[in-house]
Amino acid sequence: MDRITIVKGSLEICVLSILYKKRSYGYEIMKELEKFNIKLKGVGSIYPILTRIKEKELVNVSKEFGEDERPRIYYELNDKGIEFLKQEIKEWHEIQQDIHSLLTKNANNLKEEV
Amino acid sequence: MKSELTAYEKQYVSQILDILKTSGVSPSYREDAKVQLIEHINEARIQNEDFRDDLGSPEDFALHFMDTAIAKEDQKSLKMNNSNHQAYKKELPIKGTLLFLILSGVYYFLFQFSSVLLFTPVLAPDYGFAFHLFKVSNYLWWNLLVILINVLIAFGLSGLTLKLFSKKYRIS
Repeated sequence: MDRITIVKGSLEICVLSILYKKRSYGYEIMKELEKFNIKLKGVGSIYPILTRIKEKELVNVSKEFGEDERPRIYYELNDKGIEFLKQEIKEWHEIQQDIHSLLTKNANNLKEEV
Repeated sequence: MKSELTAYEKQYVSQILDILKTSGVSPSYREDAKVQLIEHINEARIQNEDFRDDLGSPEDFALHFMDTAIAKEDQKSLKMNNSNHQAYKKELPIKGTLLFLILSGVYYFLFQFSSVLLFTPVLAPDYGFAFHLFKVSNYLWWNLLVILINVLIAFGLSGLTLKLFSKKYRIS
């Protein structure tokens, strides 16, 4: 199974969920995803997702300077983003449930073999 | 934005921005990508990690960026501008400096050869002037001047050729 394709499709919701917990910046979000084995090594990164959610106005963006004067772009989920995430999670669970039902009905015995 | 990137890192960023620009991505998106790339490269350096492990090749990043970040409406207009990804420049498997030196050498010898033919009677059958690539005159200063002029013209033409090449090819 092409794990990358599946991860790509769910990446936005994953990023939004991280930002729901706390505001963060690109590199930190990427490392948080890696903790859950959600990686996109070699095929781009989460940065296009960050641009997209910014364009959709789901996050507030601020630039801050660390102790080493290195700038970081922080993303913070706003009300529109929370509402969007809520809808996306609902939809994601529905799709997951549908696929689960289909697989259980048609190929449940294969699951036990694995 | 404060950026202290190495030449390699700068080249990586500029390759991505170049692809995005060639594909007609708007400056605001390109600026966004640039800021993100610089931030990530700096963070990866602090963690002693190779930034390319996360970001992938310039082509991968740029394609992923265009497919993911850019709004659907903008993507449509991008596709109309570039019906496919052939707009990307092909990469020449040679370093820019090396290509410049090779071109300069070729141009220089061509000019030097032409100078000897033009300014000496070497082609005149009965004149008995021996051919010598670096000897146009019996005066050393005049020979040196011709060499200098030819070298300068060769450098100028090589620069111009590289500029023309860079419109069609990406030189590393």
